[in-house]
Amino acid sequence: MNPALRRMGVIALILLGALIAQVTWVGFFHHEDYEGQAAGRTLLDEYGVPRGSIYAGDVLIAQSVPTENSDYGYQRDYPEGDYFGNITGFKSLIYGVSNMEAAENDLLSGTSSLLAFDDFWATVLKERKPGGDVITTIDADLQKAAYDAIAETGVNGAAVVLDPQTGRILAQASYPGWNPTEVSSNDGDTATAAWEAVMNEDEDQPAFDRSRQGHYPPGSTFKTIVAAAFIENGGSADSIVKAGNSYTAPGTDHEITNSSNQCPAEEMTLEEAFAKSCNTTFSRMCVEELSVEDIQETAEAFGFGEVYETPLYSAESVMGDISEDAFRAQACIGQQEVRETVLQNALIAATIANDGERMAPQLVDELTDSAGETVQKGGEESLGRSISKDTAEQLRIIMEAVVDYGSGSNAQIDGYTVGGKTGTAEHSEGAEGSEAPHGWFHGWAMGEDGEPAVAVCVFLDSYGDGASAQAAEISGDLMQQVLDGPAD
Amino acid sequence: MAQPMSATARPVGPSEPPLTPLAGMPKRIGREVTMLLMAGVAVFLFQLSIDVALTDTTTSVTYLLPLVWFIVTLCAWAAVKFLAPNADPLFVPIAAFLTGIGIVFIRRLDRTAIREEALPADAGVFAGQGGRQLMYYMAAVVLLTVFLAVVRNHRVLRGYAYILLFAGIALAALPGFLPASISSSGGSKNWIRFGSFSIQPSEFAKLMLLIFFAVYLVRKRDMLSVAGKKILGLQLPRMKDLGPIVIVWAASLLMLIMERDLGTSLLLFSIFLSMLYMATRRASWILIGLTMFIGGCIAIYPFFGHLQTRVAIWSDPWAYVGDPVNDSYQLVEGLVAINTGGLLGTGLGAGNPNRIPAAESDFILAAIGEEAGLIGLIGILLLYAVLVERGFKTGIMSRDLFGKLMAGGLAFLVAFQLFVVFGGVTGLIPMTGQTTQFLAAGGSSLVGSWLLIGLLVRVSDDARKPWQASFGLQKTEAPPEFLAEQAAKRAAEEAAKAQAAGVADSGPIPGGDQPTELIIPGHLQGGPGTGTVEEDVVGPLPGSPPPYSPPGSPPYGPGSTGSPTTERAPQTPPPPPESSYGPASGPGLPTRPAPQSPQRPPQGPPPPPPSVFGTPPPDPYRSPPPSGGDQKKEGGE
Repeated sequence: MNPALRRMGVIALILLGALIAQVTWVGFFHHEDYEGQAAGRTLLDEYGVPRGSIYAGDVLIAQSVPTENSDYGYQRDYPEGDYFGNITGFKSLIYGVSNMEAAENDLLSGTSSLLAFDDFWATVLKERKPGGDVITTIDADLQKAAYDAIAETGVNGAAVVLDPQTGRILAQASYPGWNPTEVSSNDGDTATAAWEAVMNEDEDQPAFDRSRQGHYPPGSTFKTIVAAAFIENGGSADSIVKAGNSYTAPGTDHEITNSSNQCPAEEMTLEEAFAKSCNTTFSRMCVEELSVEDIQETAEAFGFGEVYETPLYSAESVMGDISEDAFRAQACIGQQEVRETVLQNALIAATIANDGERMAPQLVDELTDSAGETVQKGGEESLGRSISKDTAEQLRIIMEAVVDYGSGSNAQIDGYTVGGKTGTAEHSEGAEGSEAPHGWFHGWAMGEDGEPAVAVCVFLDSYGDGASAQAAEISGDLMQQVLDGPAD
Repeated sequence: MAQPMSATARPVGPSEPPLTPLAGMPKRIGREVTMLLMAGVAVFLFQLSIDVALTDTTTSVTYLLPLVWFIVTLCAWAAVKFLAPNADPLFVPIAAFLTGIGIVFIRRLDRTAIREEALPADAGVFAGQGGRQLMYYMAAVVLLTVFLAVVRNHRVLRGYAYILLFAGIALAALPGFLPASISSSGGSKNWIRFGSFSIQPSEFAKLMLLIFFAVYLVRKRDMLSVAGKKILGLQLPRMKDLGPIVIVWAASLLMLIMERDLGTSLLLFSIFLSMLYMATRRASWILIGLTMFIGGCIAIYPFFGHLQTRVAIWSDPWAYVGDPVNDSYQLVEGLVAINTGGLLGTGLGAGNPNRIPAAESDFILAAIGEEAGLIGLIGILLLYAVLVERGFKTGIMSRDLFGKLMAGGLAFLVAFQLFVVFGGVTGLIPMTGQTTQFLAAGGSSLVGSWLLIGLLVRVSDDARKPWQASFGLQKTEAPPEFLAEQAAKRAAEEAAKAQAAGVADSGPIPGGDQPTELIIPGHLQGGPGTGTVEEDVVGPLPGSPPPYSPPGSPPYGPGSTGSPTTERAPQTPPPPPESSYGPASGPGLPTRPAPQSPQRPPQGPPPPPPSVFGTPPPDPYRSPPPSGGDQKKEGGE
């Protein structure tokens, strides 16, 4: 019987050997399958060290605070609440990350290669390191001012303030905002309830960033692009263009009129027509003088069809179908299927202020390690020239006229050169009936040294009468705040 | 009861010399104590590093828990030393070490539990599941002691083979007939619950059935190893011998159907199969058995959802995460845990093993793998491997077939159960829901595991103890012709006396002398494992044999030197053999007078030899001859 016992002993060893082989395979070799599946476990690790903070300038807008009596060592807290909710995003056990928390997740969670030499041994041993900080370009006071200003109007809306020369985003407010602290709570019930309230129950969709995720009919602010196309193709501020109280494009019986019959003259200069925002002028211009390609090229040069990554992603702005004259006539006054994001509209103003060179909008000023040492600077990036310098100059002339004596006079700032364009966009959700129109204003201001100092776009969702004037008012205030510098 | 054996057994292969020297195997108490101390230090360090990792401080439990464990371990060790002094010195330290790791780790899992209230750092030694496990350990050691004290010789168990069979079947089958509220847990019906107390009867049923298998297969091995047809180069058994395997097969499948317990069913069947192979040495049995079992599983597969679930999860765990029907969450968490641990592990107390459902029972190896890494896991697997191989060695050294088969079966049980559990956890085979012996939380499992150790210790003690005088005697068991010659001699003697002639020396004796002279040196020299000990044994022989007492004298040699002289001294039968055989070994009694009788032969040879040789050893298992030549005894195959 002994030989059989010996053989059985060998078989038993083979079984155990198979186990050792298998556990080596499972434990020692990396499998792609584990990616994602390991998330829960990684999460625990991740919550075991403080995640990096997010700052707006020197104002703390997101931080990790230690918890007590919890499996998770830290939880996320957003001290500035609603103002920055759509910039920071959330960092939730259940729902993951969004916005800046997602875009800079590697750095914030300490796994970024930028931090590899921060703590060399931790890198080698694959230990968790505290995350680095993100310092955004946002000016906290300006952001709050923008948010509060829109909040005061009583409608939803958004505002973007840019530095035209660098593309730095100084404010990017969307109203209503929200505070991601509760959604980011480590307590599942709190987080779930907050998530329900914010994402599903609130009809205003506070977590929807109206400054970049939503695109809306731009109304008359789109005339800036039409004017740019016109000037690029040989026009100037002084060119005589047709106006009139009404215009009916070929192939349709829809009559285009002006909002208050402010352009009765048959002909006037482009400057005057732009300042008065004559719909007839620009509809006719698109149908009679500009080709489909001219308009499209100019729009694309300004960034239509592009997704910006600031690093927060924005929706793309679109022209829609402008092949038919009738469509084009509507599209050129910012109706029809034209849709623009607030960020895009601000960028158009900024580009014009910056002599036609379009700077990539950016939110990140600086990345640091957990000790506060800079590991990466934001830098600036040009997206190329949208329009020639001359065109930009001509456009600035007509935009100045808008603020000086035209529809955007609310945006005037004493002692500074300001230009812009108002817009009122009709829109309807359903098939019948129009809702209150959106109010738009996009513009820029030159600093005391004559260099472009600030560009802005304000959007008021379904504000109704006086929408564009209100938008211009807010824009003026915001630009003034930038020009005056930080209030000491 | 095993009578037929000695009459029919034919060695299949060359018979093997026994491995145990005449003076028994060395006890190595020093090394055993060293191992226990090392295990104690390891368990303490284990606990210490966990506490430091979890709370940065030590509490009284940090010291108390390993201490209590160590004291219980010492009790287990002392019990074994006292009741089975010759047992293999590795069994208790390894089993105790594994149990200690289990206790400490289960407590560690309690500390960071996420599915229920976590255990506070300062909770008492007996708090939580880890504390309960410690109490189970105490119970297991008590039961081990009782077992060793009551069962003084493993052969006794043969007498209860059928009782054990029916008890085993009853225990294994009981949950299948109980309402699900009492017996169901996690898809399988293999529990019995009374309020908060629950046992898993299959843990004990396994051992009972294993003992029965050993008895039964030893008795039937000759029949079962008779060759039948040969197909494709494979020697098949006879068709009419398929009865037992079919019955066990049917029982296993029935168990699978009634209790939905794939693990126990698979385990029972493979134990039977492995023991069948060990008993008969016919590989065809394994082939037949596996074919039957796999065929059976395939046949019932379509009708059993939980079987399909397990196979589906096993074939692609990643595809079923969060799947409402076949949720592979547990398996995937286990795999992820092991993978997270990597080579060195996250450090004891520094991982998140609580994410694995049932981390303290079915998946404890995955949890340990996360924190102790591949190195820790392989270390534990090697501990098991040593335990298993010592079990097989015990079987090989054992002096009787029943002991061999039982030890081999137990060793294989440990190996196969580990394979089934850990293979399931690591995705090597479908999950079957068995517990990891010694490590996993659960009283039934721990007590069952320690009873298994008790059985191995019992067999080992018998296999490693010094040879007894009686063995020497029986070793020389006379061939019939020798007895005839003795009778003839006696007759001649009497005839001579009757004639009052003084010549008694020569005459008929040569014939009578010859076998003894051949046999004595034969078994002593042939008895391999020849060490100095044996030389000593051989030494005294030449001087001692009185010319006239051939059958009686040889036993003196080994008897008087191999065992303490005091054992020889008493004329009253019981004491010396009793101490080694235990009172319970009924069948042994008849032979007992034998050792004493040889003292008389010099004067009156006639009566004793017949009493020794004439009555055939009532129990062939008891008399394994060290001699390689005696084919009546089992010298192996």
